Amino acid sequence: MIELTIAVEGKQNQFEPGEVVDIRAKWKCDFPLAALEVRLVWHTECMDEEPSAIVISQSSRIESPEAEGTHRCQLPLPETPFGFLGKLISLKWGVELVTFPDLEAVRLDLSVGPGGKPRVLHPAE
Amino acid sequence: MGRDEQHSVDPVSPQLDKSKEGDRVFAWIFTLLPGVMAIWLSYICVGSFSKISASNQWIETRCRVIQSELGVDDEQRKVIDIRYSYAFNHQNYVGDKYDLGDKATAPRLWKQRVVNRHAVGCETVCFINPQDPSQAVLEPGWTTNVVNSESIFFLWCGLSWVGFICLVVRLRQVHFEDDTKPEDQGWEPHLALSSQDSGSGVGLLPLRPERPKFQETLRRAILYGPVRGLGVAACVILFAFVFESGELLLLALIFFLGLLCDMWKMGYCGLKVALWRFCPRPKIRTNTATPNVNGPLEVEWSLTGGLPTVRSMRIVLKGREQTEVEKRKRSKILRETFAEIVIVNTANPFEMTGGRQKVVIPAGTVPSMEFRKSRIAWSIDVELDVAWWPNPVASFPICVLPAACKELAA
Repeated sequence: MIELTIAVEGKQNQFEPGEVVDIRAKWKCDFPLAALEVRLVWHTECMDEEPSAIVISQSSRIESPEAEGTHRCQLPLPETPFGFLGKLISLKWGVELVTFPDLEAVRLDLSVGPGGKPRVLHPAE
Repeated sequence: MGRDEQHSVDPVSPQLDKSKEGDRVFAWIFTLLPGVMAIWLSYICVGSFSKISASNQWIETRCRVIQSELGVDDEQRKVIDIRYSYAFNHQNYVGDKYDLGDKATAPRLWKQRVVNRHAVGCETVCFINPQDPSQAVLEPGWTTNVVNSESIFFLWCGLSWVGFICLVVRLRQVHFEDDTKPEDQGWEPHLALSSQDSGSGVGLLPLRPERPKFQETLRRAILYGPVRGLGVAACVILFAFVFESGELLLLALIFFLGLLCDMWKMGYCGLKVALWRFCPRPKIRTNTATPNVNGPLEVEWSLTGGLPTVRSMRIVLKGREQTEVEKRKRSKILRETFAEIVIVNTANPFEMTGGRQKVVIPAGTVPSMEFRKSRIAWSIDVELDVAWWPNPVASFPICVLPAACKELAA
């Protein structure tokens, strides 16, 4: 059995491009893990298409973690790309906690863009 | 910059290039002469085809076969030698035409069957031209003989010429696009630089317009259609003559019709290409083909050909979402415009001829991106309102880089 939680400090998950994300990861596992990784990632979602592969922007790795523990790290967001929501294409940011070698993962979505919000390409007319 | 915001424009006078005029005159002669020939051939064919179709309305009358055999013509080819007598308006006539097609081109087996079917002395029906009762046939309309006649061949020749000329025109266009240097396009590089606004101090770059979809369709139809259709039809015709089979000839006709379908596509797209070529041609130059978000973009334009007919011109920097979706095994490209920055919107002929404008790509907008089946694409679109003509839109793709890239480059 494995329990994974991930959270970001303050800000209600809203960040400006270039800002540093303060991430807290927590895990509890009843079998030994080879490694854990906290990742700052983005992906795109297009109409009629599977979500794209995850792009890892930044990561922090913990080798041979204890059965239970917490990890806090600060990962900087790049200036680009920022999140956007279009009619056909959207780009979304998030943080992930991934276990190795099982690749169990938990994800938390982030709002990244100017003003802490993803850019809406087609504002309501 | 607001959507409807107007700008002052720096007019620039483009210098027309005279050195290519000889080439253009030659190209026109080369295009027009075969074109006239094609129209003439098609006119002859259409005339004979209308007569063939009209024969279906001829008057049906009883007749008696007085001669029926396979004869030979002057070129020693087998022909149907048939004669029949009939009466019309109390006058007797003798007809010698089986149908309105060529006597010699149909397969020999088919001709033998016709002779066997019309034995001497038998009574049958013939069809009389009411305007000229001396003209009659035993089989009106489209027969195997007619389908095999030279008229079809002439029509095919005419249409092929049109297709060939379209291909030549297209190839010449590609040649010019690839080889033309900025100086050859009627521009003096020093004119393209603004003395006070360019800032970068670098010459402006000509952008290449996106090829319209109908040009690509025409190219494919010309390259693959006739080869596919004619190749198969030729093989079947060869077999038909070897085995003297009318059915195989019918099969060849089906392939030939397939070729005509591509001809239809060629004609439709060829017409659009022709209309496109007669439209005024916009040219766009920018200080960079890869501007940055929140960075300046200097755009210089010129318009040549057919200027008096252009009522207004609008040059817009557009950002689009674009994705390819599949419906019933056919892919379709969906586009949504998310940003529209008007560079110039004018009805002033002098401003339309040429000018320069500087815009700033708004901060916070999405730069160009490319995914597996989707993309964020930016382009400078020139939209013309042309009197009595389809309104052309020329699209010049550019790649908008993120703002951060500029800092990295620095």
